[in-house]
Amino acid sequence: MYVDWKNQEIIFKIVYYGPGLGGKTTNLEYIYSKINPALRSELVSFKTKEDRTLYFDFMQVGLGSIGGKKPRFHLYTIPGQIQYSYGRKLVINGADAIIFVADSQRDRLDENIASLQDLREKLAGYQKSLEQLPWIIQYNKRDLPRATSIPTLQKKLNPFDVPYCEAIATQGAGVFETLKSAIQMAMSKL
Amino acid sequence: MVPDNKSNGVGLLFSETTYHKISRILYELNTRLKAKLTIFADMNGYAIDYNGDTRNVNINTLTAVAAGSFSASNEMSRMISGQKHFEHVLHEGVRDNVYMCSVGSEYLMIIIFDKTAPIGFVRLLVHAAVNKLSQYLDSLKAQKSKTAQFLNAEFRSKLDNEMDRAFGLM
Repeated sequence: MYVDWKNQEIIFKIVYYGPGLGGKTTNLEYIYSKINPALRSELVSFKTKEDRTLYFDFMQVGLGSIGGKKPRFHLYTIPGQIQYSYGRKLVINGADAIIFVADSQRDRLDENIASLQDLREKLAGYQKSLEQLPWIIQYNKRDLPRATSIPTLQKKLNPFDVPYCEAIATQGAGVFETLKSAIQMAMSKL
Repeated sequence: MVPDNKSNGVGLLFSETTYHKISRILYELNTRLKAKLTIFADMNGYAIDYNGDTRNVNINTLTAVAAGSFSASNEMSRMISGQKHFEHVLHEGVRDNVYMCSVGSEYLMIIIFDKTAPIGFVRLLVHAAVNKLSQYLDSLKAQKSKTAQFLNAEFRSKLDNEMDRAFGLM
């Protein structure tokens, strides 16, 4: 969290983590498309020619003034592809909360597990751990026929029993609920 | 008091005097360079202070992108020569240039200026400003953040309501 005293803003950094093609950018795109434009910045994306996240996506979401202070949320996604490890390390630094966007499809389970392990390693690089940091899991793509059951996903991906949300990011289901939960978790850790 | 972002929730504070000194340095630098915008930020992409014309730019977005760009350059530096980081990075544009340099290991200066300004002059003045800033950063007296004080139950409750309204969850 950062407090901008000049503008009376309280800024939180929320990072969407998870395997490639899991729906992290789709979350941001949905938020961008639905939230009042007066409350958000542009959605900045660094993408490859194939429309994959190269570096990170960034968007700021602001809310109305509360007691003279304006909450602002910096939303970042990480590049999910394995080769962009450095981008993930950079983006995760200073995160106030992490949203782990898991792909519910059965054949993506190993990628989810690998990404979670990658997250642990990246945090360890900053002397942090998943036990310390507020984080939430979003089980995305719940509408697909090959979606793994929630109990199985929970068993494999949620050893700490952190909160989770089910989502269909392409339709917006669960997107704002996930964000709200992550913000609440970040606040609760203060 | 002005926090410097060290970690989630518990940061360090700049004294108000230090903050004003930083503001003064930015003002003088921006004025002498006739720059469009000068930003003092942390490496995580938070704008700590700035001076200049912000009418057509979102400071937070610009700072986040600039910090990302600078970090990417640093990684390149490490890869090619094992250097810890580049101290200066210059982006030359059609109308404007962007000059970035590190201030210590945790902070960053970003200057956007007219392409016609001599680069040597920019470097000279920025270098002097960074030296001044470094002195103040060294003398910072860290204190535990008191920012959680106003993030009380009432604030959190109102924040929930604001989120419900903005996110269409009502």
